[in-house]
Amino acid sequence: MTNELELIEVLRDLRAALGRPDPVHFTRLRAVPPGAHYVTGDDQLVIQTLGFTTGFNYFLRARVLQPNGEITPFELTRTTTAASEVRRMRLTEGFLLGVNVEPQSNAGASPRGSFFVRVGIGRGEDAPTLFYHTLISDYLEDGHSLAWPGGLMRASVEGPGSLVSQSTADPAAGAEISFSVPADRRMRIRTLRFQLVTAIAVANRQVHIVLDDSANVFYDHPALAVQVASTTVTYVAAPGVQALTTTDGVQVIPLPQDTMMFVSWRLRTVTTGIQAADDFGPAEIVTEDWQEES
Amino acid sequence: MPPPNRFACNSCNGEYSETSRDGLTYFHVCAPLSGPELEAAGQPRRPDDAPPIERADKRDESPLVTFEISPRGHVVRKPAVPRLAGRGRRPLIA
Repeated sequence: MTNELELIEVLRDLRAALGRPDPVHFTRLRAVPPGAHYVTGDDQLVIQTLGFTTGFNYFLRARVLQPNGEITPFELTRTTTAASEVRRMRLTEGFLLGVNVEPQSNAGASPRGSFFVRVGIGRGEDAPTLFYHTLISDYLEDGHSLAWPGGLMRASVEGPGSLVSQSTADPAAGAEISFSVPADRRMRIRTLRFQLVTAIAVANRQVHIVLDDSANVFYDHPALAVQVASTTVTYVAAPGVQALTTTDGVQVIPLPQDTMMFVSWRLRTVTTGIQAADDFGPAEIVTEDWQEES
Repeated sequence: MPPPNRFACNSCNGEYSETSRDGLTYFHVCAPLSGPELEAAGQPRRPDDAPPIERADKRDESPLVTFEISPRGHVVRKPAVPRLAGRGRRPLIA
């Protein structure tokens, strides 16, 4: 068979030399294998993951076309044990044909925005991770795989984030509420709700919602009405709402539209006239979160 | 009855759960000093929009990742630690 193909190639070369080349010519011998990446045994697939939680399950599969013509599959099955992880898969020499990352039975616990994956070709064991060529960069979510070639390359702060609902600390009496954006996170504030129970001490308390960058205040909006002694008022805040004075025990405070918060930025209360025995409850906050690479 | 992962901060006495309802980790950071806390420390209250005054023993559990050189010469990522330990925290016993 090989001799026949070689003969065909020779005949085609002869026709071309005589000025009558084939209009279409497919090289059947010594064809360049597909794949842009020729890797060696020193190269590794480096898998970097950033997640809000641990215990995320995923598969990584890759295929390499070796110089002898054999295709060798590689597979990694991983359950994350840290929010930020780097795993390495040593390859064999040949052409890297494709890479696929697939979630595995996370039971809906991985909405988009909560688990970011970057796969690339690297060398060495050092951290921080050195990528020589990034192949995959996107969020992994249940029911959706990431692939190279053919996948989209996204930064961790692109697209919709993951909706997160959480409570802040319950402050001690006389202390204010404060919520700080943790490391490796970017947040958009969606809603905020908290209660203030005032003590018997006579004073007018006026609750402000304040945003700061951990040092400088860049937003300060007071509640429309003061809160007197021995009362309980619920405060609600959200971007773009209209301020509302106390109605059936609830006050509404607007936040700026599209309130993006970066690492260490804070959302907190500052209460004019607060008394030592006044007691804020924990704030319930819904945010849209992204992994912020640091 | 508090859940087993509920703590009280020894710096600000705030109480919090380490795990939020979504299963995500909550990172406690002490609030700046409030008006009554400033008064208790012998300082005047400040305008609402004044830069906040942090407590000297502020606790910040936001994770801090550092690196070290291993005996084999590799750069190794160390386990994350709180950025500021403050006066620590105590578990709230169920």
